[in-house]
Formats: sequence, C-alpha cells, structure tokens
Amino acid sequence: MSGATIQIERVEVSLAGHSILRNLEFSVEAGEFVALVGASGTGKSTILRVLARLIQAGAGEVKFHLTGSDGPPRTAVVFQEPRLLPWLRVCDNVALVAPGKRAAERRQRAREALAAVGLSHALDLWPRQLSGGMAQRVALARALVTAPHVLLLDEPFSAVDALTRIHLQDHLMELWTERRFTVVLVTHDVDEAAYLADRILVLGGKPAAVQAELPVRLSRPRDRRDPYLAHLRGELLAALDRSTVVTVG
Amino acid sequence: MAALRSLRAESRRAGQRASPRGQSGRLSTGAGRMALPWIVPLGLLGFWWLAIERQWVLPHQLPPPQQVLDTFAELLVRGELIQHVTATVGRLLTGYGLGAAPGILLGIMAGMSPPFRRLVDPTVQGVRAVPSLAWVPLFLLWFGIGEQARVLLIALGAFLPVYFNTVAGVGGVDRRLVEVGQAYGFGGGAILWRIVLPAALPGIFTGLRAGLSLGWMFVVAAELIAANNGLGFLLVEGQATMRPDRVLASLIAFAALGRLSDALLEEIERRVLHWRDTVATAEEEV
Repeated sequence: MSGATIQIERVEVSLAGHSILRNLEFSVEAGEFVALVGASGTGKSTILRVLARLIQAGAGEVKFHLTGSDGPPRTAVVFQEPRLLPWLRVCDNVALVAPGKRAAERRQRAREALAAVGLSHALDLWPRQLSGGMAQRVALARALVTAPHVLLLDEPFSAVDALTRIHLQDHLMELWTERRFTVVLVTHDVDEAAYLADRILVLGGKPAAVQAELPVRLSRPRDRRDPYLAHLRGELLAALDRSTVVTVG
Repeated sequence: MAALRSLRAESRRAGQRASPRGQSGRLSTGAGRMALPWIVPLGLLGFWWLAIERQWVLPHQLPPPQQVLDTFAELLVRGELIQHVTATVGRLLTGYGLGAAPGILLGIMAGMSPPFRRLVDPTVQGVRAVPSLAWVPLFLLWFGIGEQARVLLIALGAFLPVYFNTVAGVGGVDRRLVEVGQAYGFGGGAILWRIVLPAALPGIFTGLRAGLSLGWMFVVAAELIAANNGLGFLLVEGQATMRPDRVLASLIAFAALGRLSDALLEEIERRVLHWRDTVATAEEEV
C-alpha cells in the first residue's frame, strides 16, 4: 500500500452565501502526514469534506495522483463521531465498505482490519454496546479495510477521553508507519498535531487560507515529552494567535 | 444462529419482566399481577350476567353470555364463521397490500427527493383532509357495489399512514450516516438500500401498523355498506334480523383477528429491528 499526492489549487467554497475558503493552496506528498489546525469555525472540516468529495469546490481544483496508477486513488474518512450503522454488527459495519465480490471475502477483510485495530474480540457486538474509544477504532478499521491511499481524519479523537486519545494516536502512528498512506488530519489539538504530523498547516482568516506552515523536525518514534514538542507547541499557538482575526480574551 | 439469538432475546425479555419485583404492596407479587388484567373483564362479564338475571335489559337487546358463546360455536361448527372470516381477511390483505406497497414506494421517493415531495405531498395532504369514509359514495359510484370498491377503500385507508410515516422515516434519516456512504463511494442505489432504508425502517413499521389498524376500520365500513359476506356483513345481518348474539359473535371475531394481525406485525417488526433491542443486551454480551 502506498500514498497518493494531493494538490489543492485555488480552491474556493461558499456555503449558504458565505465564503468559507478562498484561494486555498497547498499540497501533500505521497505518504506524508499533514495536520490542519485552526480555531473552530475556520473551515478546517470544510477542506476535509472537499477532499472527501462530500462537498464540491465552487472554483479551483483538487488533484489526487498515485504513482504507477491511472485510476483515482482510494480515499477513506474517519469523522469526529464513529458514525457506525446501528443495525449492523461491528464486523458487518466494516465489511460494508470492504472491497471484494463475495460477502465471505469482504467479511474476511473486515476481520483482518478489526484485528489490526485490536478488536478481534468485538466482531459480533452491536455499535451501541461499544465505548466511545472502541467505536472510533471500528471507524478506523472501516477506513483501513478499503486499503486507502489517502486517509482523511476529521478531529477523530476529540470526543474520547484523554487516555483513550493517547492510545488511539499511538495506534494510528503504528498503522501509518507500517502502511504509509497519505494522511490529512484536521484537529484543534496542537499537541496532537505536533506529535503526529510531518508538517502542520495553520489555517485562519475569513474566508480561510493557509496562514503558516510548520515542519515537524523530529524523527520517529517520537516521545511525547520531547522538549522540541513543547517548543513547537509554543510556535503553533503563536501562529494560531496571529491567524485569528477576531480573538476574545 | 438466528434461532439461538431469538431464544436469548426471549429469555432476556422474560428476565426483564420478572426482574423489577415489587417491594410495594400485595398487587406487585406474582399472583396479584397475574390477576390484575382480568379484574375488569370478569367484572363486566359478571355485570352482564347480573343485568340479564335481574331483567335490566331485554334478551333481544343483550343475550346472556352463554348464548353468545353458543352462537359463536355454532357459527364456527357450521363453517359460516370461517367463510365470513376468509372473505374479510382476503379483502383486508388485498386492500392492505394495494395501499401499503405504493405508500412505501411513494413515501421513499418523496422522502428522498424534495422536488418529488413538493409535487405529490400537497395532493396527498388534500386527500387526507377528507374524512376517509366520505369517499364511500364516490367509490360506489365509480366502481359499483362490488369487490373492487371495497378493496380500493381499504387500500386508501392503508395507504395514508404508510405514506406519511415512510416520508417522515426517510426524511429523518441521519445525514451523517448517508455521508458515510458518500465518503466511501456508494452509488445512489447502494445508499438507498444499505443506509436510508434500514435507517427508515422503524418509521415504515410504525406506518405499516397504523395502516393495518385503519385497514380494519375500512374493511368494516366497506362491509357495513355493501357486502354479502364478511364479518361486517354478519354485523349488519345480525342487526337486521334482531340477533344481537350474532352481532356480538362477529365483534369477538373482529377483536381476535385485529389483535392477532397486530401481534404478527409486531413480531415481524421485533425480528427485523432486533438491533434496536434496548440496553438489556449490553451487559449480557460484553
């Protein structure tokens, strides 16, 4: 499995007459892990929804490219909420989007994906029986089962408790290191962005555009207590401060 | 597997019923609770018997319970009852099918497509605004006093609640679940079949059950007005021939069939929507 490149060129999005994004430009390399941070309401999620083709850009272009392939790369999304279908058991929720002609084949892939997120024991549970962290891991397995070239994450860990969040982040890191898909992570958590990403884009302004770009020069595996991360956190907060047009407090 | 699951669900529900054992009062003990539902019917039966014994009512208005039971048994043995029941149930099922199927279909279309909804919804609302029985004369004029008019009347009665509940069910589907399908590249058909329909099923079932109960109402109306067989006919005939025992026997049959059909639909609903089974499962399986 490998990642695809993403190029966003002069993208504009308006929703209900309001210009959300204007002249947005950035690119993501194959296999790169990019985090988008910004204050709430800056349009971070809108960018992700454009990448996931859930909304259409009013102008500009989004280009995906996969080396050695002409077809469009596969994208997968993990939303802030798990969004599992309540009428399907865990395994079937994952099998639903799994590739494969036969149901047995799709279920087999689903079992493998669930094993990869450590949920082999939960195959037959119903979504309502899961804790928040477990449900989000199922959502991650659902994304992974499609063998995505691009993984889009929309604040995927913001609704779980702090300890679970750390586990999920480390788990994501392992999976990414192993499979090297391209990741675009939208988050408002600067620590999360610094710990996970290769590069952080700070969004701001109305309509939103990329205000700053910070590379994370830290080898992996990373240590959460690394002083460099604390330093980066300071820089990020400063950049966020500058990028926010209206700040309160 | 499925059987095992339903068995487990069975025992679970039994457990639920038994678990909130009473600490308060005698009526919450097992025997007391078993007796509670029978008190009112038995009291009424006693009062009925008493009213006849004391001659508060005349026998041609209200026959004694025993006679109603005898008449019921007689109708049953002579095959008369089966004949009427068959006619009524056949009519109901035909009309229900003819009403519920387009109700679901149009309901899904109107729920999915706002333009289509704007196209048909006002008309259906208008039809609903007419008290349903007011259609009877028109149906008789159009289709004559025949099976067609009766079945179509029942179909109309079943259609309306099925349509409205399906529209509401489909319209109320969580957008965020639909987005999952879109994000994973599902086509329109797959989104409808795999996400929208299962999510709308609870609403559709509500409509189906309401439609069934209206279907019963309309089958009676249709048979009261124009029929030469069926339980409704048995009612009219009993009235015309001053046979309250036959009227009451017919009512008993209606009650039994109505309850049975609703219980049947309820069971289907429970099996189809078993994933909705509430919290009880969580503790058991985790």
